[in-house]
This record gives sequence, structure tokens and C-alpha cells, in this order.
Amino acid sequence: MRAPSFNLLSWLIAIAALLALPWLVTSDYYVNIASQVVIAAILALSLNLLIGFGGMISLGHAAYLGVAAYLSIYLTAHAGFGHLAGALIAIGATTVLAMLFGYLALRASGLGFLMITLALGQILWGVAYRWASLTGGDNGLGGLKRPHPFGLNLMDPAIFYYFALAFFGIALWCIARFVQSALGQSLQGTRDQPRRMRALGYNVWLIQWLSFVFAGFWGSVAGLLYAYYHQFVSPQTLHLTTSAETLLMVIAGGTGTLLGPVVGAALVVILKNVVSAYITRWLILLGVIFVVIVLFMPEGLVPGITRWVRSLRSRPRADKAADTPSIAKDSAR
Amino acid sequence: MTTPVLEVTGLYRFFGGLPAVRDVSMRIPAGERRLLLGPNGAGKTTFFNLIAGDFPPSQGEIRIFGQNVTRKSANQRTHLGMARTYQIITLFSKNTLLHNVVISLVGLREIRFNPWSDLRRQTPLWDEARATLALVGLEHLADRTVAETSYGERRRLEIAMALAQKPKLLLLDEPLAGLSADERQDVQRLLQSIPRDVTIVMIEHDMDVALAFADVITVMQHGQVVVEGSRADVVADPRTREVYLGH
Amino acid sequence: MNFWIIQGLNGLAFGSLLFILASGFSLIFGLMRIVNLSHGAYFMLGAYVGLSAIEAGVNFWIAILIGGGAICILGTVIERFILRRLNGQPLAQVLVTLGIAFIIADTCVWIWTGDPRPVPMPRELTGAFRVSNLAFPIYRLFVIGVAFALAAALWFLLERSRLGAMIRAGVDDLPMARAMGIRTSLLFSAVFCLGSALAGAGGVLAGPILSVYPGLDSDMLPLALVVVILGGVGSLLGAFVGSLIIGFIYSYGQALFPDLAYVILFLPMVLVLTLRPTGLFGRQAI
Repeated sequence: MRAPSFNLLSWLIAIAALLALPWLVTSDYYVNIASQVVIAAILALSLNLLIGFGGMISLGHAAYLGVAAYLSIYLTAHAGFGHLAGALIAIGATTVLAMLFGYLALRASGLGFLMITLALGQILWGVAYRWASLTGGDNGLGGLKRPHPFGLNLMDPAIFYYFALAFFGIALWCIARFVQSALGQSLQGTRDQPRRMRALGYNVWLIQWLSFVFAGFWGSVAGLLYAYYHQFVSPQTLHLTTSAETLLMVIAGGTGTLLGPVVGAALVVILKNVVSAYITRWLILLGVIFVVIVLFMPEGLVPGITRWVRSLRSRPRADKAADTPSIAKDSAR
Repeated sequence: MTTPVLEVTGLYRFFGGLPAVRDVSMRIPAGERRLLLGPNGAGKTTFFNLIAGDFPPSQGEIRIFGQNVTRKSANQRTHLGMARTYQIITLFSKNTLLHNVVISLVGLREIRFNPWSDLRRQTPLWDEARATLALVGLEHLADRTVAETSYGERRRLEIAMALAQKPKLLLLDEPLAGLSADERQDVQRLLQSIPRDVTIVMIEHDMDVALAFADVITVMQHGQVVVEGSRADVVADPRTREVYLGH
Repeated sequence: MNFWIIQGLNGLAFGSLLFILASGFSLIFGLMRIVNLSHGAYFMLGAYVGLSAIEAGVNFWIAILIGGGAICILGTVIERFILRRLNGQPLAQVLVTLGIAFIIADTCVWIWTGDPRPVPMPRELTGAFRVSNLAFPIYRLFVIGVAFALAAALWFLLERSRLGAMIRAGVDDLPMARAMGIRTSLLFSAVFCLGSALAGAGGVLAGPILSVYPGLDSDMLPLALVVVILGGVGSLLGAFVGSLIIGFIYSYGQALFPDLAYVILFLPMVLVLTLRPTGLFGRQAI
């Protein structure tokens, strides 16, 4: 529950660097990658609320990215809504979806939670893939024009970057406040000692659900930006691989810290862009990275992964009666 | 007659067909110090967990302050004025002692659903937490993490977490377990300083301390109540001896 | 009327394939507490291996053995050398199986390209079985028969054999089983090997009905998860009933509302998780 140990000076330097980036990297290509990083970072920050601060390992976070992207493109480019209305409805509806998915996934904990989020996410992928009349199926959905808020030309890479960066700043600020708020601190308590939290008067389920919905909301904001950036969305956005990439951002950067996922997002997006320029086998590399991280670097490079793996391992002992996702549940008594 | 603080009728709890608690009934009036005695596996902790609401009873009814809470969740019961400690220490080990107590305080306050204002800036809460720590003699360790404290200090923090909530019904599960003689005295003094209007139910194996503390003693075995009565009655009862000295 | 019967048969056939996949997944999860996210990839890889065997001139039946055997070996190697190292770390195990699933999936695209490949049906099972004006494809009837025989064999294995008694003891209470002297490490290998072999052989068996294509793994894995969520953890009966329910829903859904076939899959999940989070036949919440 440590606060990000950033002093004012390092914040100012970081902000200045982010603002100056379009001048530092003159090529549009790199500015666009920076935009991708910023969008991915919002998604990773929101997933880290669940994983790092809530101890809830979701493998279906692409759902909120994808659904918000599909909805905003469908509503504005195909159903005649204005940009603002389309955006608001997309984010609202996706947040409602997070309410439903959160309710379903939180019927279980631990591995059950993981399985349900994965299944729900993949069903959505199947829907996007098969409901071709609405989603365009495998061809995806396009035709979205970037909006012109306040007369800004978002087709300009640098302006779009600032646009996304503004959202990122707001997201980071809100999530940082959440983490330090009573609710955010309670969420961290439910991660460490759910049973004690109940005895202290906390409604553990409600805390987890509210956090789930909050994370879903920021996931949908990332989805909206994703739609504006790519002006296109395909089932791939909803696929397990997208959820897994986001998970990788979180664990590569370190769970449970505020800024870890941002670093992780930068690493994964840059790696993916670099690798894709040379080979077509990104998925194999993604798989290898997962295996290597888990097998060989659980302590060193990635302090986070060990912590939550270990906390799950030690939970049955510390918390015998409740919430043990392990098979030892009945035997513990 | 006034409503008892805790009233349990015909309580059963089965685990996979085995009864851990069998037909336990109990009435505990306000202000009483009640001691639960019995060998390991007698069902005392299961009984505590049933009262606290960790899981529902298979049968029977639980009333707290006259209110039927049998189907209420653990957190709802806590809001009625009940608090508990754990036999196995259950603390937030990476956090400071002060933080632990603040989390305990926040549990009963509306602020717990606030996603915006910084908990660190809630000065009154931190002051109150510090005062609670002073009560149990841990003020000087307030800013250490739980991981950096001794076992005896953690036991006292367990009690502080419960006391912070100013409960009217306090469940203490072996508050002296594993403590040295000196530490026992400290905790004993602490327990005796709890105001009389707080009803206390305690599980404890240390007979000297426990007997000195209790008004009424309930002896349990095989999930059932064997003997119940005043200190002298229970000590004199041959069935107590039987429970403790074997069959 | 004919529509309902034919689609019912299709549902039964699809449910049967699902059962072959999900029974292994469920056993592995129930006993070892491993969510094997590679299971869909095993199914797909098995199908590709079987296809290559057939294209190399091998008989269909031998191809099933080759597909099942290859995946069995692969699964055993993964269990022995990777999953075992992560014993007691369920999340690390999940992430490793996820990584392996990606590696297998992409390797399949690499070797067998991205085009869907039909697996030829064995000659002796082509054609249809006619009752009045209805025609049932013989191969589907055969697949249904295989699944029912497998269900019976697994039931016999679990309920009547020594190995099964050990597996059930392990599912119910692993530490206790260990304390009673059951060699759980051997048991784990046996179950993982069996589950992998079923996935691989099931893939070959599914080939003539579903074809093999990149994404077959992504199609099948969530269905296996849904089956376990519906049926309950580690319950063979649950896997069987869950597979058939999903088979029917999927088949009728695809025929009646082709766009919404996948949306309908949410319904049983919502119902079961709301009303009975342990699953229909499970004893513990997943």
C-alpha cells in the first residue's frame, strides 16, 4: 500500500518529457507508437486495480476495450449518433456490462474468477466473430472518423497524442486517488485478509464489485480511445491474446505499484511493434515471454508476480474458513 | 428481564456429515464475562465462527442484542456492535500498526465507500487509532509494520483492532495463546481494563487467567455443552474433571 | 419436427466432442487444481497431427491413436518438466499453460498455414442412416457412441478401479490422500496424460465434423470452461451433462439464430452462477 515514491521534481520531469515527446521524436511513426502506449497504459492501469490492488486475476479485460470500441464505432459510424453521444453511450453501456460480468465473476474467487472472466471474454469474442450482420465478423468494423473536439484536428498524430495523453493523465489521477482512498485501501485489505475485513464490518463482495466496475469503466475509456486511434476494430481486440497482453503489461511492470503497468505498457507495445517489423510470429514470442517470466524470473525482474503468486499460495493457511480457492477448502477444517 | 446480548438456541453445524457443534444453547446477559473451556476440537472456535457469521449454522438461531442475525453476514453483525479477535493472528502484515487500526476504524464508517478523498488525510481517524494503540501499550510502535513486531505485540494489536470499534460484544479467541508470562500479565491487565458494559466471550486455555477473569464458564466437548455455571460450580463439577482428565 | 430431431442429433454430436475435451479438463482441474489453458490448443494440435498422419497415408483409426499419443507425450512432458516445478502455485501454472497455448497455436499456423483443412472421414463411416424420411450421418452417430462409451469407461475407471479410488480421494481431499500414502505425483502424471490424450484424440475425431482451422482452440477452450462452470469442478457427471447442454444450446442456437449462437451461451452461465455457484453437480464453488 505504499504511495508512489515520486517526488515533485521527478513528476515534473516526467510530465515535461511526455509533453515534449512529439518534438523529441520527430517522426509520426514514433508519435503514433506513443499514442498506442498511452492508450494501452490506461487499460493496464485499470487491470492492475483488479490484479495488483484487488488480487483478482482477470483474463477477460479485453472485453471492456473491445466492447467500448465496437459500440462507439457502431453508434457513430453506422447508427447515426453524434461523436459525443456515441462515446457516452459506449462508455456507459460497457460499464453496465462490467457490472454484469463483475457480478458473475465474483460468484467465485481465485481460479474460478479467472476461469469465468476468461469464458465471458471469449464468448464476447465469439459474438463479435459470428454476429457478422452487426459487427462485420472477421472483417471488423470501420468507418469511424476521428472527432474534432474544440476544433482540434485529431487526424494530426501529435494532436491525437495530446488528446490521449490528457485522458491518460485524468485516468492516472483518478486511479491514484482511488488507491489512496478509503475504498481503495479497503480493496487492498480484501486482497490480503478477506476474512478479517468481513469481521471488521466491510462488505468484501461489494468492495470487489465496485472496484471491478471502476476498472471496467477505465477499460472502456481505453476502448474509446482505441477506436479513435485505429478507426477500426476487429474480433482480435476482444480476443484472449489482448487480455493476455494487458496482463503481461501489468506483471512485467510490477503489480501493486501505481506506475508499474505504465512501464509495462510501454515495454509490451514497443516490443510488439519492433518485433512485428521483423517477424510475424508475435504470438509465439508472447507465449515464450509468459513461460520464461513464470519459470525463470519470478523473483528478480518482476517483483510483483511472485508476490501475488505467493500470496495465493499462503492464503489457505492464513485464511482457512473462507475464500480459499484451493481444493483444500473442505479439508482445512 | 432484559434482553441478553447474545442468545443462541439449538445451534448445529455439520462439516461433511460430522457435527462440529451440536445443539448448543446459550444466553449471555449484558456485561457478563463468559469463558468457553474445552479440549482442542471441542467446537469452540467453530462456535465463535458461527456467532461471528463466517458461515451459517446448519440449524438453530443466533440473536445478538435481541436481533435475529442467523442469516446475516459477518459484516452486518459487526455493524450491530460485535467485534472479534482470531486465534491465528490475522493482520495486515505489510502495513503499519497504525494503518491496521485505521482500517478497523474505517470498517464502521461511511467513508469506507469513498473512492476519492485521501485516507491519509483523515487526521481524526489516525489520532483515534493512535489513542487505541496507546490503550494497549503499542503507541511507540505505531509506525512499524506488523512484520517488524514481536508475536506478543501482534496479539495485543489483535485486541486493539477489536477494541477500536468500541464493541458492546467482544469475542476473544485465545487472546493469551503463545505469550510469555510477562506478556500474559500485560494482556490480562488490558482485558481487565475493558469497561464492564462490554460483554466478553472468551476462549482460553490458561486456566489461572481465565478463571480469574470469568463470571460464568461453559465447558464444551465434542461440540456440545457439558457443564455451565459459576466458577466454583464448574470447578467442582465431576464432569469438568472428566472432560479434562480423560474418559 | 424433422428440424428438431436433426438439430438435436447435431447438438448431441457436438456435445459429445465437447465431453471428450471437457472431461479431461475437468479431471485435471478437479484433481490438480490446474486450469489447463492449453487444453484447447491440445485439441487443435491433435487434429492437425491426425490430419498430417492421414495425408501421409495412415488409416483414420491409427491417426486417432497418433494424434492422441502425440498430445499425450507432449502433455506429460509439460506436466513433468514445467507444471511440476510450479507445484503449489496455481496462478503461475495458469500463466504457463496460457503461454504454451499461444506457442502451440502460432506454431500450428506456421506449419499448417491459416486455411481451414477438412479432415477426411473414414470410408466405412460415410453415408447416412435412414429412418423414414430422416437421414442421420453415420459418422455423427459414431461420435455420439464414442462419447457415451468414454463416459461409461471413465465412470468405471473412477468408481470401480483402484486408480479411480485414488483419483476420487485426491479430488476430495488432496492432503489426506497424500497422508494415506497415495503417490500423488504419479497420479497427477496419469491424469494429465489421460486428459491430454483425450484432448488430442478428440481433436482428430472432431476433424471430419468441425474441420481444423486456426482458432479452433479459441473456439473450444471457452466452451470447455463453460462446461466446467456449469457442471461443477471435478465432476464427471457434471462434465457430461454440461457438455450435452452446451451442445444442444449451441446447435439449436446456430440453426435458429445463427448470429446469436454465442450470445445464448451466456444464459446457462448466468443462471448457474446466480442460482448454484457450485455448478450443477459440484460440491464446492469453483
